[in-house]
Amino acid sequence: MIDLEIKNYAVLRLFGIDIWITDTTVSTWIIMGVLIIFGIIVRIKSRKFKEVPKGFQNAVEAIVEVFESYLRTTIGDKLMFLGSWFFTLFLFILLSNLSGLLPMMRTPTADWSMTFGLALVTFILIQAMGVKYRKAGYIKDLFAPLPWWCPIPLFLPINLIGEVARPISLSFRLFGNMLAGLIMMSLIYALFPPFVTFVIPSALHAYFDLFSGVLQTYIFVTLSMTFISGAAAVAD
Amino acid sequence: MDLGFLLPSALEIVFPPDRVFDIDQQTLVQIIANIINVAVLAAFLAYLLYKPVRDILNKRTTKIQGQLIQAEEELEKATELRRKYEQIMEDVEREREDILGEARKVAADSSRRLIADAKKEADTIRERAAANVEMEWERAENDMRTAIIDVSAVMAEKFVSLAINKETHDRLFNETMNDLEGMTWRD
Repeated sequence: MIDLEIKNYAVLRLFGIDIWITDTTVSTWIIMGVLIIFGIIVRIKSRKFKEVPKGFQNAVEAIVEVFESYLRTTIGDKLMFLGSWFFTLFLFILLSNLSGLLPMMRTPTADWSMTFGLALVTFILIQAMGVKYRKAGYIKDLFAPLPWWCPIPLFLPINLIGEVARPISLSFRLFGNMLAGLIMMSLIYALFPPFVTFVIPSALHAYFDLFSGVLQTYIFVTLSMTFISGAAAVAD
Repeated sequence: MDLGFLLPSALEIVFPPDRVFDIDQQTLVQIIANIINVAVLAAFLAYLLYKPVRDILNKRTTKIQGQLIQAEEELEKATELRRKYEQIMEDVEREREDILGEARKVAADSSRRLIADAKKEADTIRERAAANVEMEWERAENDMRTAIIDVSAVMAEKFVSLAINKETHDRLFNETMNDLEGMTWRD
């Protein structure tokens, strides 16, 4: 049986603010722990990495190299310093989406506060890179297609809404897809008798968690990269 | 699905209502908490995984590029060396041809000179032989003439001794002697 609702386990009171410890929080911590342990293993093993990679070293290098190549073709050389953020984003969303395959774990990306948080970082990066690389030109573009000195900034509200809509659409796309998968799976588990749920859901899990999970990860990260590189107008 | 056992016991355990989606103050708190969580994860992964592996890959790429540049330079050097070697070989070949040509010319000159000398010497020998033959011929003629004279004298003497007396003989002898003396003087 899969719970649709995000369970609250506790409340952490910090500086007078209540922070709920939810399914999402715990799942996030578990995923963080897995990734950090993996990172520690890589860090320790990297001291003994050889010139000609094989086995574990080969796998790790392939992951980083393929991601770097994908990053370079999407955002160009100028924004490569954001590589570690996108790398984390990719791994975290991927593991979050795939975590639905494990029992007792609720997909963190089926929580809007998580997807919106990630999309908010993308939004902040879009604005920061736009101002950093295009300076006033980025602000002037908010008045487009009219010139910025036009007395009536007719298109400014539309452009502002367009900018604000980006993180919202980005977050709802991922959240909606993952929640839909969760709902579908919980309905399947609720509809079928227990002995059938050993067979049929596995194919549906492959689609809703595996296929959709990988696809949505790719879409979220690629869109984030495209928005940021578009704002920075990096031609290379 | 109860994950409560994973949490530290020191936390205040209360149970706010479960929910699927809501937008309130707690949502904002959750958003900030999630951003902090992922930012912490990003910092860890950058330090532990991404940067070290990327540095290793970059170092290897730099090393391979260095090796490729070095190989290219060495190839250029080898090509230059080969070009020089070929140039030297061409020079040597040309020099060999020159030397051979010169040697052939010298040999031809020498041969011509030797043949000319031999011809000259042969001519000299032939001339000398011809002169000797001429000289021998003249000597033989003289000997023959002397012999004829002697025979003629003997025959004349015999003939005369039979045909003439002593007075005629003396007169004729004297006349002949005078003629002979005159002839010798004139010749």
